[in-house]
Amino acid sequence: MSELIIKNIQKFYGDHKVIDKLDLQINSGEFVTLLGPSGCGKTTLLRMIAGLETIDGGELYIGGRKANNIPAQKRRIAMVFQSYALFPHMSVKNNIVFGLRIKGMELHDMFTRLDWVLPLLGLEGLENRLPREISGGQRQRVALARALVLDPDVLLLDEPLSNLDTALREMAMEELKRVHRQVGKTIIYVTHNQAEAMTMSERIAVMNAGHLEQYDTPGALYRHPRTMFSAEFIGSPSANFIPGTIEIKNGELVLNSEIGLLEIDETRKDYLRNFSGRSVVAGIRPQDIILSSTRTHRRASDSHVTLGVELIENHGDRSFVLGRFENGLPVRFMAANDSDYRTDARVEVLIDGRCIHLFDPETRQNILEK
Amino acid sequence: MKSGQEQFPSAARLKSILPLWPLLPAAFYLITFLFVVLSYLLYLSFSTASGAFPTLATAGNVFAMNEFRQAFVSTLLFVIVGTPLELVAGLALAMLIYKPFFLRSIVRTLFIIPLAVPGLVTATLLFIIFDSNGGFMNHILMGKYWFFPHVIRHAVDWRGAQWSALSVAMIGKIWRDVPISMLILLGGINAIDPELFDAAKTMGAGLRQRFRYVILPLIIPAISSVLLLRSIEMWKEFIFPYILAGRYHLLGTLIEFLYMEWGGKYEHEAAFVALVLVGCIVVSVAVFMFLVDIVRRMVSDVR
Repeated sequence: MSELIIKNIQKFYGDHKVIDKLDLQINSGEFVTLLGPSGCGKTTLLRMIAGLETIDGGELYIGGRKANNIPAQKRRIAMVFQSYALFPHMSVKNNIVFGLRIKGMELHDMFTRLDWVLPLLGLEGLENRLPREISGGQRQRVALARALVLDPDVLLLDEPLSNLDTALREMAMEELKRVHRQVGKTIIYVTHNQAEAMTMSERIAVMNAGHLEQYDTPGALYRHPRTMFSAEFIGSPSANFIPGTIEIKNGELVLNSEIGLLEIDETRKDYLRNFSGRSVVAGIRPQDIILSSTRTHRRASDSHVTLGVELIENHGDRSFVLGRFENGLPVRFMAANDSDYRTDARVEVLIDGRCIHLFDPETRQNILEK
Repeated sequence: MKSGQEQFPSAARLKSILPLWPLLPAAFYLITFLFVVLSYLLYLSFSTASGAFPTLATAGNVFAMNEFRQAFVSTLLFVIVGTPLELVAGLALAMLIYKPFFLRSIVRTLFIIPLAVPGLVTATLLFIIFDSNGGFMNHILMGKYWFFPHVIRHAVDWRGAQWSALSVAMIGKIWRDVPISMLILLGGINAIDPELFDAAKTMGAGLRQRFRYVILPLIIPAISSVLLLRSIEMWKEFIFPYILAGRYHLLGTLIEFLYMEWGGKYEHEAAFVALVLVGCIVVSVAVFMFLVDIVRRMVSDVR
């Protein structure tokens, strides 16, 4: 069993609180990513799990055992570092079996594991090379192999793909997913790259300033962000935020926003009547703003808004458009490349009321996600 | 017929040589000085006071001297024992302070203080401390202070016997110079990526194993530097044996003794001993490099 439970965990550097009473439960065999911007405490949390940082408050359980005071070398964890931390004076083979040698494993068993991991990660033929004699992608695989042969309860990965170029990173992501499927280890992966997190993880813990913003599946994080931070951090480009008030106009519940009246989806109206008169911030993903000219049918929840196109970034299959509403509020949206729009043009867009997330401007919590 | 461009260096070539021109006077000075000194040393070593040159008579005189043979053995032991001791002491101090801790900078400064004390002062202090009559060391060992047990009954004449006198000189030498070794080794340890220690920890390596498998192989260049530089210093050592073991020569003090004490009668012999000393340094450097290579193979991985 390799379940990992974090209860109320805290970390201070002097007076500065780095991790603030954080709770997290990771199931055995699960692939979980700690996602957040630089300095949010995700690597510190990973290092606390690894035993490389002390735990100043709360409890950590690995495989049912309280691990707060268990030294790193006895935690049955393995870690892949951002720099890979391969021993430069050791060959690939000896880097991989280092941990097994330390544990005093029999030579025969050591080579059995080596024979298992080398083909698993495509490292055959590189056994006798030094780390400086192999590529970045190969180093990353050696670091992973070194961790896997230890047969740890939990595998910790600290931004292991950040040093790879885009093509290699995509390959490495596929490989990591494949390896996870094959070995079934509990994996905790740290990254600030949401694409990596969304692609590989079963669940993502979004962290911000030392606390947990949201812990959910990638799909739920995208469709149901619980906080403005989650809505902003997940999805590329990040969501547009438009202040407004929930009001009743002509007997209909609407969102009176700074860019005009926006329709609210029928299914949400009953619930939102309780919020009538309250200020909110509407979060709208760029993918949910659509050029009117590209949509033939209309929905009741659609709102029509006019905006000016300021900048178009061609992304191949579609473009990322930066525009400005009539009140001067900036907006980002995506549009197909065959659509009829150009820089400085005025275009009409549709905003689907079903895709609007409403946040409390003070608590920054999603009022629709109870 | 060659074109003008082929006959003269190209502008690009001149431009690449240009930055080296300011070094020429220094290079000229060093080469000339080294050449003059070494050639005169060779001349003196292979000539006699009567003007015979070249001759091995001076070498024969030196090898026949009992003082030379004793000084050679003593110096060899001084190097063989003193250099590793200084390395071990320097490594121990470096290991104590390589990790950040409260007041580390003060502790590091304390460790470096001996380097600031002139050798003559240190040697004189040790002369007093190890005095046979009323010296601090004898008082301590005789139990005259509350903090140390009674170990000896009678005062020891530390400087009265060859090996104890040279040992005291070696203690002084190591105490004074160990900060140099410590700083070189500390630089080597600090150059190691801290994530390597973390990686070793997560793979189950304790302190001893991290030292054996991570630190030691990766500071071989620093260890080589310490062995190289400090062994040369040990061969050349003068002030500590001169003050603390005056009657028991090392090669360094024997040169001075032959040149000064016997009324300048043995300046050719003094020159030959100096030549032997240079030869010893060259050979020991080669031997140390060979040993370091063996150690590197032992502690790092065979592919």
